[in-house]
Amino acid sequence: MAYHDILVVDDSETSRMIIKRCLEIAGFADSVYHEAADGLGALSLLKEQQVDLIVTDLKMPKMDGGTLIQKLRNDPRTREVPILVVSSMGNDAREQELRKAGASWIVHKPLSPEALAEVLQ
Amino acid sequence: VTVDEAVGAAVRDAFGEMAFVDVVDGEPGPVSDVAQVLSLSFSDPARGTLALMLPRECKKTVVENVYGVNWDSLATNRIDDCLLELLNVLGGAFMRNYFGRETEFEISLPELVFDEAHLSARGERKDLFFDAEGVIFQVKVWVEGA
Repeated sequence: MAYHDILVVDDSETSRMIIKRCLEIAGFADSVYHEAADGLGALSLLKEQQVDLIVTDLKMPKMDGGTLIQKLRNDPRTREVPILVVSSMGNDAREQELRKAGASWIVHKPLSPEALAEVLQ
Repeated sequence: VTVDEAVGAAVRDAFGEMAFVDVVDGEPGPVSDVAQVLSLSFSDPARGTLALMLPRECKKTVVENVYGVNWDSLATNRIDDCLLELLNVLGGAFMRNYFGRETEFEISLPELVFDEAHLSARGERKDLFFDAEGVIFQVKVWVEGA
């Protein structure tokens, strides 16, 4: 599967960099990466930019990942875009809720390229 | 799973995957030249605190490895963000390891602490020591009712 434009949403610059690094090693070195520090930033960016994959953290200021997923699934422009949740939080019940809300995959931090390759390819 | 095992696995995963630093159990004893103290607290399903005490050399290695650049080129806010994210990941992994995947848990945002005296924690304290490629660092864990 090829994802040309990938949006990475995380309030930590370090985390965004690690996510990008892992995605590149996992087979997405040629993708174009876009970044946002929270859900609001992501929605703002998506008004101007179409993406093929959204990777988001959960715990973020202004708008968390759970709210972002709901908004993306309610918007016809982003309803079908795959969403990968990457978080240090989470348990079985929460993950079930996120999947119901529209998350395509959920991966825990610390991230590894292998874990990303497994879910995305 | 004991606290020691849950912390040990979380530390090895976080340092290994994020910073490519191999960590093994270290000899207990005073940790020299602690340059950074970070902590986070958890409130559910038990209350407690996790603190990371990093010597200067260990802090530098972790941050340089994560960013892949020389220490001198890094701004303070990027160094802080890196260390806070390390503890955030370590804390989440500890909670999953200790309480299990089926348990809901709540952790605070990690914070930089001026020094050890500013840590406010209650409960039984565990002092765990680790060896990061020759440098000893310490994790302190308080769990109320453990």
